[in-house]
Amino acid sequence: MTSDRNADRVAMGLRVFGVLALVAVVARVFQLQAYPSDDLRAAVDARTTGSRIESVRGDLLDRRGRVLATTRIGYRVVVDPVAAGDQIDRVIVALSEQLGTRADDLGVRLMRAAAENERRRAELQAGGQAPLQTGGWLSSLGLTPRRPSPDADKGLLRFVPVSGVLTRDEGDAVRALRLPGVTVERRSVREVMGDESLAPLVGKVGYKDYSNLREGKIGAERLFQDRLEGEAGSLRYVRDANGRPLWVERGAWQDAHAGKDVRLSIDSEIQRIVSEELERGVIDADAAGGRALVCDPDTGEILAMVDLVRDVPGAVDVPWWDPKSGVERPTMPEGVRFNVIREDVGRGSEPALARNRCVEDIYEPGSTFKPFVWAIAHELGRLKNGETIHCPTRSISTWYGRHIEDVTYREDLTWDDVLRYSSNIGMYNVTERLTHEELNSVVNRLKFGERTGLGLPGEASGLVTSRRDWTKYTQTSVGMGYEVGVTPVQMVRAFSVFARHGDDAGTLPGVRLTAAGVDETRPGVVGDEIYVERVYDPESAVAVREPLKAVVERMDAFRLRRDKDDVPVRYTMFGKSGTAYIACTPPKGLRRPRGAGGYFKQYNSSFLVAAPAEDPEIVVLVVIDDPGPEQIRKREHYGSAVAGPVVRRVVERTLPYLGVPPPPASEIAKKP
Amino acid sequence: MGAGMFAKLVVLVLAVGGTAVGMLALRQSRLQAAHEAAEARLRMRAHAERTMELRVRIARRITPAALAEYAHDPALVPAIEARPGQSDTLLNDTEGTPDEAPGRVRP
Repeated sequence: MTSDRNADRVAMGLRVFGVLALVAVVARVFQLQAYPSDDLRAAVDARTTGSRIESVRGDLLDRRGRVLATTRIGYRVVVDPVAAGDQIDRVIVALSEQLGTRADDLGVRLMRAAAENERRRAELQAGGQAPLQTGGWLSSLGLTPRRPSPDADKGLLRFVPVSGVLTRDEGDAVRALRLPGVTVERRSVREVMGDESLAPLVGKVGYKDYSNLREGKIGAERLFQDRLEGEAGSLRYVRDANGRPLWVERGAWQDAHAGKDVRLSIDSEIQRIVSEELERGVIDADAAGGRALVCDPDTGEILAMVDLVRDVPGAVDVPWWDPKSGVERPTMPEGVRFNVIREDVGRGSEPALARNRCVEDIYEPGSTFKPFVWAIAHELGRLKNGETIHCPTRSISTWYGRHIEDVTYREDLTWDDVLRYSSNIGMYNVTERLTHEELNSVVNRLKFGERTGLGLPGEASGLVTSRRDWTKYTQTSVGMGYEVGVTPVQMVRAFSVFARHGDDAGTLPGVRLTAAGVDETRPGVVGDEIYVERVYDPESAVAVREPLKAVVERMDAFRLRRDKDDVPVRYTMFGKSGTAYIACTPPKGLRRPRGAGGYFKQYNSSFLVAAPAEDPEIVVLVVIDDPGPEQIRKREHYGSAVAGPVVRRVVERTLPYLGVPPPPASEIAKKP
Repeated sequence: MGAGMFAKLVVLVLAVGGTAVGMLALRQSRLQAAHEAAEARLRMRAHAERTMELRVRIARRITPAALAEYAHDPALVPAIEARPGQSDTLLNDTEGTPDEAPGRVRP
């Protein structure tokens, strides 16, 4: 009886113990799962791998949706000489056969890396460091560890890329060889399409802060980085002892979201047209370079932007003098052609790294600036109808003793003739009828001296004399387009005031590099906002067009006289030529050589137009930098001789492409 | 141990075993599903890569400069300029008249 009772107690005790043990186990499991200790967490994390899933960068498109820059996935073969070990010869032979490269070239690279590893190993051992193949307690048993210690390979070359960018199929073919130490790396590749002249505008992507991530470094790639970038995803998985994935927890895989596309205002066909014609113009003029821009005056969209630089044989660098160098100040050589375009190291190495001179380099616009001054004088009623300026001689001396001369001499000039014949004497008369305040104010309202807001890195703001420093010399100089430094993009924006329609005539548009939302199917990036600011009243802005049409007619007459096979006139346009000396401005910290004046005897020749004249759709500017000495000798270095034909050819090719009908034949017949 | 207890134990063992087998089956099907999902994702990735590659190739072939080149290519000009009733160098006698030619792009 007693023994039965004892047995029951023992059984009960065992049951209670069992239940408590089970509870304890369950509690422990719960604790390990929900609140693991730091040690346990570290141990588990060591078996968990997290990786970033790169998002695909958005595309850069042109105004009509053509791809300018896009991303594709490429593959690259990488060899680890340490893992390849003594089979490196087999690796070299097999890879060279598969990749179609010479075994010698491949062999040299890999053998050089292997030899360097040997040298480093020897150096480490000589330095008394721990043996490279440490085996721990396994060594004492005469066993070799399956994997060498990570320290063993520290400091060795283990990443030797041996191929260019391969396609997926090519990458798969290399993988199928199963060569020791050979891996195929997957990476995104940014492809830039189209004309080389687009490269500085599109820009370039590069690695971010020494990481494997990529970001836009220059151009539109940098400007629209936030939009193009997208959102990276992530993946965490538990791996086995060999690093292979075991499983992925629920929610541990988050997909990447691709970046958004950005539609630029650039039209690649217009860019091609401008690029071809500008190149032809630069060669014809034996010039050192050329810049050209096409802009939509209504929306402010930049449709094309081209910057060319040409090596001029025989041109010499200016011997700038460094006062701190201790050497004697050099003398300016005479009778030579100088390199007048600022050196651009990036351009030589890669087109995308070129300085974009359409926004970064300023120039004095010369006579192309005259319409802006003329229009404000017209608006203020200082140019009376029917008034004539009498110029008895080709050159005059101003009341303060400054010499002014006309290239095209006319004894009597109406106010329209002042623009038509680009009279410096006439413009002196115009500026004398304006106060300093009035002229300075209109230059500022045209936003010269301010960045345009395009957003491209390195944009120059231009140079405008401040109101305080504005003198009588400045007043006369600005009237002729000197003593003001502008960028080509500032000039097309300013000239748009004369090309806008209806009540918008006389207003200044904000220029943009993204396509405006011109219709519902092609919405713009930032909606339809077109920022404008009034500069002139509409009547004065339109009044400028008539004399400027005559300027174009003179240019076309000269052009067709010189080359009767050049493109015939189909579209009307109004515009202005300009020829200005190039300023001799020393780089920071340096001085001009002895005998050098403020200007080279070399020129910037430009032509700025809006077309068609009756209903402008585009504004075009062409600047030919430094036409050759032969052109100067023949007096064919002027804007209407070297830049005018380029503008005409650009207009005659661009307007049909944009679907703009030419005016009726009767209108064309009137043209030269 | 009585027969009753034995039966209970058998039922218990079978229940635990059945549960374990069921859980293993569930785990296996989950792994299978995860594997298939991963495979599907890899296939999607491969297709996406292929699409990107094709997109690049197409974009390269339709740049304005490339199109201008095609327009001046003597081998392609007849195909671009041919109209019904005109001679068409891309057709031979067995292909019938230009109007009947299969896959012909009409102006």
